[in-house]
Amino acid sequence: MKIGLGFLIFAWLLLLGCKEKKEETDVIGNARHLLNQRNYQDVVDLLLIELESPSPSKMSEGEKKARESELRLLLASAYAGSVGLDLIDSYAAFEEVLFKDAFFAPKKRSLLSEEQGPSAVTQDLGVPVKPQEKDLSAEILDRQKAEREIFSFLETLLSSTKIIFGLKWIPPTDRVKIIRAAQQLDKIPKDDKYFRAASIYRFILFSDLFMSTLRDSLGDPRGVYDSSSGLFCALNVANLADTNSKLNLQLTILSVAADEISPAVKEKNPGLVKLLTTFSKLRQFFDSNRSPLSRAYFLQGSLRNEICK
Amino acid sequence: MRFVSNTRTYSNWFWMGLLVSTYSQAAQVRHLFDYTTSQLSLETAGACGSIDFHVDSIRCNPALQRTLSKNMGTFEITTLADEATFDSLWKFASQPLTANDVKTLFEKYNFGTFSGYVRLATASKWASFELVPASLVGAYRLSNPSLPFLQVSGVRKSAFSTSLSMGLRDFYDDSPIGIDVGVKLKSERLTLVNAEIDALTAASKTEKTAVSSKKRNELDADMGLYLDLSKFWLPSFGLVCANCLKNEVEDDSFDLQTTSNELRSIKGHLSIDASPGVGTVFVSSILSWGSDFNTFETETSGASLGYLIGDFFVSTQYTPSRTGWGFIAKRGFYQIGMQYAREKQPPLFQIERQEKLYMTLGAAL
Repeated sequence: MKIGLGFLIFAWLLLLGCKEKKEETDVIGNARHLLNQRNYQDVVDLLLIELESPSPSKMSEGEKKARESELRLLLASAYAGSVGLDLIDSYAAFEEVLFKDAFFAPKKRSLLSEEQGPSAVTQDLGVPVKPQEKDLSAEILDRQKAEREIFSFLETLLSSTKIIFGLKWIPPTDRVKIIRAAQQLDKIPKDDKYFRAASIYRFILFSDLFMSTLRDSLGDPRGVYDSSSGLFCALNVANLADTNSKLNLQLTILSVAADEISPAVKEKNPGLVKLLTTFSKLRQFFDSNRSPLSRAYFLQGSLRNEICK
Repeated sequence: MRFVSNTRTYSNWFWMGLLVSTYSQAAQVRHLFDYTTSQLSLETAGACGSIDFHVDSIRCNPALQRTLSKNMGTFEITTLADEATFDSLWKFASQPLTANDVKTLFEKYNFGTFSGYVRLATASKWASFELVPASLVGAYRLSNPSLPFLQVSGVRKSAFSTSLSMGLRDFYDDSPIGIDVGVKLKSERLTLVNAEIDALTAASKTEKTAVSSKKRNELDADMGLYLDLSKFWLPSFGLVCANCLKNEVEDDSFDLQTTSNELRSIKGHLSIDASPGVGTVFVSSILSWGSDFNTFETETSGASLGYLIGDFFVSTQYTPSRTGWGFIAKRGFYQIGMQYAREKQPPLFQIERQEKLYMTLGAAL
């Protein structure tokens, strides 16, 4: 009898376990769980529905706002993850910008400086210096100026090669998701605890968007280029000149995104500041109808013949 | 007196000299083997915890404190954490992470819990005293590869408690009913630390407020009742009011829930044993309610079934967050046990169940 009673209790408890009431779903917990599994699209679906739904009534207004900001940050990261922008996989790239003071690895020698003429650049690329270049005729000066401009551009790109090629190239059809992610981040108010992260994240997303558009002009946008000659040979300057206005617009957006990052964060992140400097340098190539690249691209044909054999 | 110690030598520094435990009761040292990660860890049953609730629910009932601690003197130094948790925390704290470290941490060790304490206890006929000069409980979680978040939560605690109890059979040896009542007064000093840092905020290095810490002193009490009705062929019954003075969460903003946030709860335990001819069957259950019986807590309720034959004990347990089965065998002074479990650790955010194998080694002196 005693055993029977005991087993009855045991069976009752097992049944009790089976009848366990459904706990209120922890959406943020579930979203994080799905994000860990890289189920980004499921998270997007889940959070879009959640953001449309009314917040739990027990919460105060402050709690509701904080929760909404967290949901938006997670949703933005899900959009970014769904196009392959993943800070774990791209850690090396972000490490350069955010986790290392020395964003630009010191170079043994600059490819181009004020002291060095374009001939030095062409020499670096393997183009023999021609004695007649010493004659400073107008034609040669123009060519030298154009050479300087195009290689200055390559130099600027190469100086941030890890971040450029460390970030995933996003195909044009997926880029709308980066915009959607940024739109979510835009809605996080300035007084929110996630605003600091949101402002940096938005800048990174726009950086990736810009870099992806820029890399469209490379022979293989997914490729990694670590030498000026390799980059030069892969670069389609005519195509780059065609996307001039798009790149110019993206740089404007990037500049606005950069302004949102607080001076304190910039002060603490030399890598970030140097990236901003890189972008402002790049901007000079895209900011007018008389883009130096437009003027320089005519060079590419003749130089390509010399360098990219 | 029972002496239990870790009999294996581990290469890692934190195992070295970590455990020398002397128990006045049948506490065990368990090696925990997580064969999804091939990690070993160690724990004892020294705290009122969720594992082996059959034992712990009785241990946590102040009405039974003196009967479980009737021998003098307990000293424990205990830790519960897996090797990966220590390694991960060490890496977070001590060195720049490489891309490979980050990937490995995220893929394999994105969640960990750790705990440790030093405990001294002694008991007399009517009272028992317990001093925990240092105790640490904590957890970390790394989530979201797209925009990584690190959450760390910890509670450092020092505590002193005293239990007073008495029973009807103290006065009437042949009473058919055993009634024991007890109260445990607890004084605790807690430091709670919580951090939730996303990778980008961490990189900005200016967010001191990402780490919050609070200190508080608490005075609380557990009360217990135990009825032994075995002479009437009825289950023995215990009722515990844990943290009777606390009814509000003081740190509900902390995501990683730790044991410090336990509210007042009512726990009832029923147990019965019977000898069907060969061996003895033990059936036990624990039911848990929130404050004032207003909520039934399924996560901390469950049941166990055990069978003892000679020196061999086999048991199975069930709670919504844990299912397990295992055995303990004794031979002379020595005992060995093994227990397989699929379980979630107490922090509620852990969604995945982990498969664990607990190995028990013990020696009685």
